Order: sequence, then structure tokens, then C-alpha cells
Amino acid sequence: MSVDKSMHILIVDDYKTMLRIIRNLLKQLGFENVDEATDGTAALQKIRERPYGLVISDWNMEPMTGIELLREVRADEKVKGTPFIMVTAESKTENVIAAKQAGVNNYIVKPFNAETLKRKMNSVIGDF
Amino acid sequence: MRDTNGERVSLNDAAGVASLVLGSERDAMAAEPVDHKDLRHLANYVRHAKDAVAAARPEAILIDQVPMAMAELVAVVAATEEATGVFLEAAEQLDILSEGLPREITAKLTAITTAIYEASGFQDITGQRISKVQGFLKEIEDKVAKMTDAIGYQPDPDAPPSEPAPGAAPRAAMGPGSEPGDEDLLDGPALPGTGATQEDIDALFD
Repeated sequence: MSVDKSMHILIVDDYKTMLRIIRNLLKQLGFENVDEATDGTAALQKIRERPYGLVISDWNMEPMTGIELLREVRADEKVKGTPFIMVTAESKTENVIAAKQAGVNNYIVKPFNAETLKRKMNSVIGDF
Repeated sequence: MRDTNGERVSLNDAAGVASLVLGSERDAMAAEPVDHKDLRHLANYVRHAKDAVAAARPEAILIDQVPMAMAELVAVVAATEEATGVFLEAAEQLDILSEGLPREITAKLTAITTAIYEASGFQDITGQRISKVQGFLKEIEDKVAKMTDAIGYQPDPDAPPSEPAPGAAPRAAMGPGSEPGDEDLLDGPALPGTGATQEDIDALFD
């Protein structure tokens, strides 16, 4: 199954620089329809407003963290199937397990490279 | 004392009690010196502890060094953020310029800009590490404040200026009216809004 590169992707991070980096990397991978949010609350609102083919979210944000966002998404019947990748500096095993239990599709530890992002996206949304 | 102050009894209060007991019962102490040995030890211990705290100049930590360290860290984050923004802007411009070029060249330029984007992630990681350090500094500040409060420490207004922290402005250690030596002039990069601007310096040469 080929991936529709016109799909909308939502990136969530409280560091504007990181949003810019991920947006540029996604653009290089051929994904131009990228929306941004700087915390979980704003992200959740966007996710409920329109369907996203993928959410790429940081963990450590205020007022709503990435894992809280993930739990909210998974608990919402309308959007619970949204593919969700966590991109975070939180690298303890407990964090990864908690994210898995909350229903994350994959997990990237910062700092990361473009190859890792592509590999994780391939495993979640398919090859492109 | 506990009836008045609750569970929290300061070293000052304890020292006061020890002195009172020693003073009011001096005669009895002469008759039974062994019974008061511990109190004398306690009074000495408290005095030494207070002297040691005073020598460490905790007010310099609270008023000068921790706030200065915090300000330096904020400046580090701001400077790296600004520099990262410049790197990203340059890489984005390269990406735009590479559109329409022969595929082989575009691929090479994309590899270069990808490397720039990847490396720019350092700013997020260092920012988070610096936030952690700021938290530790705040904790140190709170603990020093509690400790000085507990022993009733009052800074001596006649005490000489404290020694500067490693890497801090050596000027702080200079007495009034003393001429700065070469080492005293070294202060590292100035915080934003402090120090002379290039225009200020140029004016000295005009």
C-alpha cells in the first residue's frame, strides 16, 4: 500500500525550533501538508477539527503533555485510530512502556536523524 | 522552647539556652563540672557552625552568584536559539535554491541541509539540560536560604567582599579604589544589555 504524501501531519512541540526542524525534514521526505501545535491542548483541538494521517508529538509540554494528548486521542471514539509517534528526549524504559501502554505507535528519542524519522514513519504509516 | 517555637528550634535558640544554663549555674558547674561538659561542647559547636556559615558568605550565593549563574544560563539558551535560527534559515534558503537544479545537485544539497536540520536539534536538548541545571540552582538557593534562616545568620556589613566564584567576574573581589590587574579585567562575555556595545567602543577610537 502506497502512502498518500498529501496527507496532513500534525507536529506538536513546545520548542519552535524543533517544529521547524521536523517540518523541514518532513518536507524533504515529500510531506508538505504539515500543521503545528505547541502543546497537547492546542493539538487535541486541531485533531478534533480535521483528520490527520499522522501525529508526531513531543512528550514534555505544558499545560497538556504528549502522553496526556495521546490518552485523550485514544479515548476519543472519532479520532482514536490516528497514528501517533512520540519524539522526545525522555529515554527511560518506563517512559517508553508508559507510552506503549497508552497506545503510541512508535517512539523516537531526541536527538534523532532523518533516517530514523523515515524508518519510524514507514513502520507506522507504511513505506514511501 | 518547643512550646514557643514548635518542632523548629534554631541553632541560635539552642546556643542561647546553652549559654543561659552555663551562666546561671556557674557555681553549680564548679561543683559538678562533668555534668556541664556537654553543654559547653554544644555551645562551642554552635559557635563554630555559625562562624563556618559566616565564612562561606551565604548572602553572596543568594544575592550574587546564583542569580548571576541563572542569568548566564538564560543568555546561553537565547544565544543558541538565535544561532540555530540563522542556521535553519540558511538551510531553508539552500533548499529553495536547489529546486529546479539538476537532480544530482539537488540530492547533494538536500543531504547537506538534512545534516544541518539534524544537527540543529542540539538546541532543544541543550535547552532541556540547561532547564534542569536551573532547577538545581534554584534548589541550592532555597536550601541556603533555609539554612541561614535556621541559624539566624545575619551578614556582617563590614565584612570584605566575597571571593568570586570560579569563572565569575574577578572585579567583585577588588577592594574600593584598587587598580585592576590584567586578570581582574577578564569577565567573559557580557550578558545582553550589559557591557559596552561595538558602537560604544568605536566612539572611544573616534
